[in-house]
Amino acid sequence: MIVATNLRVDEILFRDGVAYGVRIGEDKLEAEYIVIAEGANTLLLEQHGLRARTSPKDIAVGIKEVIKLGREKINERFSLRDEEGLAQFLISPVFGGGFIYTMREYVSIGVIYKPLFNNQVEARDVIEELRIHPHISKLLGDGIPIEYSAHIVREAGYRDLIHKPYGRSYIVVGDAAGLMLNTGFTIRGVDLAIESGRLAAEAIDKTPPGEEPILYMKLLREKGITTTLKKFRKVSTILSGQRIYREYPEIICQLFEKMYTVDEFPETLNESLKKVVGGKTSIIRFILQLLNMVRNL
Amino acid sequence: MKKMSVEERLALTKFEVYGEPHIILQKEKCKVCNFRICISSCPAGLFAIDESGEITFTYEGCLECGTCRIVCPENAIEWNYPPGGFGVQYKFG
Repeated sequence: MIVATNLRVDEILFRDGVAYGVRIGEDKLEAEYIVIAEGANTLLLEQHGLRARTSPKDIAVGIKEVIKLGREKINERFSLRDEEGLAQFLISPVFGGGFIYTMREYVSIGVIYKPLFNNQVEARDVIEELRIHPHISKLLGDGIPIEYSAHIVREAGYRDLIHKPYGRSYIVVGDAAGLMLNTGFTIRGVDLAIESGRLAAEAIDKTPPGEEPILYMKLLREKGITTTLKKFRKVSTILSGQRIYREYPEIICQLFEKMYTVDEFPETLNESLKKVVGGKTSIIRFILQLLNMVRNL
Repeated sequence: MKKMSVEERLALTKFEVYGEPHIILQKEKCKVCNFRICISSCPAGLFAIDESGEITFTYEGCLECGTCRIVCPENAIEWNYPPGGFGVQYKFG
């Protein structure tokens, strides 16, 4: 067996509808099976008409900084012990959705930037809004940023799943196939990518050459992967609105500010709520929106 | 705490720059575009407008996320990864 890495595949080679290899520049590499694992940026699939052109509304870009802090400080500041780790999701009116997670010696912080939003900050600056946020800068202020990176995220969920992620002598796995689960509280892709790779191997192993590995789809279903994606199919629509990242955090922040401000004429919760929500929408509409959200998350 | 410019942040990331660009702009298509979302949505800030109002782009410093190709309403961006071994070299994925 040969393992060749660091090669750019320019084309998948098909003969009478059967995949038989890949083209790398001038070279052709033939194989019994092609596993397409190109990730979220689905150039090959789009080139071969196996996926429609990716729509801007279905993607966001994850922008990340890795900060070197050292194990001791990480444990102290994140209240961790030994080999424990921590991952948190963040929501902010300024940067939208974000995340922070610890590694042994490093901490990653990131934002999920949606290009089609009416953004207050441009993509190149948005991560710094997070890093200098008082809460984050207290945790990471003396850390040293060591890498800056970006990666697209396919957010459409079930709608983005390829109906037939296989064909004669090829299988599509991971993000490329649309195996990305957004429950509204967690975003999962890595585990689905690993498991789909394993299931692809099983399907290939049990399918005679030249035939369609329909077993792959059955395994994805049996393992609950496609059924779970279907269950959470409405999440992307709900989270695609600006409310959850902009209006609601603002409302909550302003509400708490009013409730905990000590002044001469304190307001009841009801009075504060009316004032804070009233500027943006009616209270009844606000409650209906919340109910609708909870029902679909 | 001070904000870092995008240039300062790009200097943290390692690149093996290839001699030819892996992303090609069809600038005649950019001329009819008023949306210009490439400028705001590139996390490396590689798109800009010059004095004549034309879109400029540099490929060195490209983080290879693919956002520009997808958001371009004119389909004006020919996007490919640099050849194997070139381009951005992430240590932390």
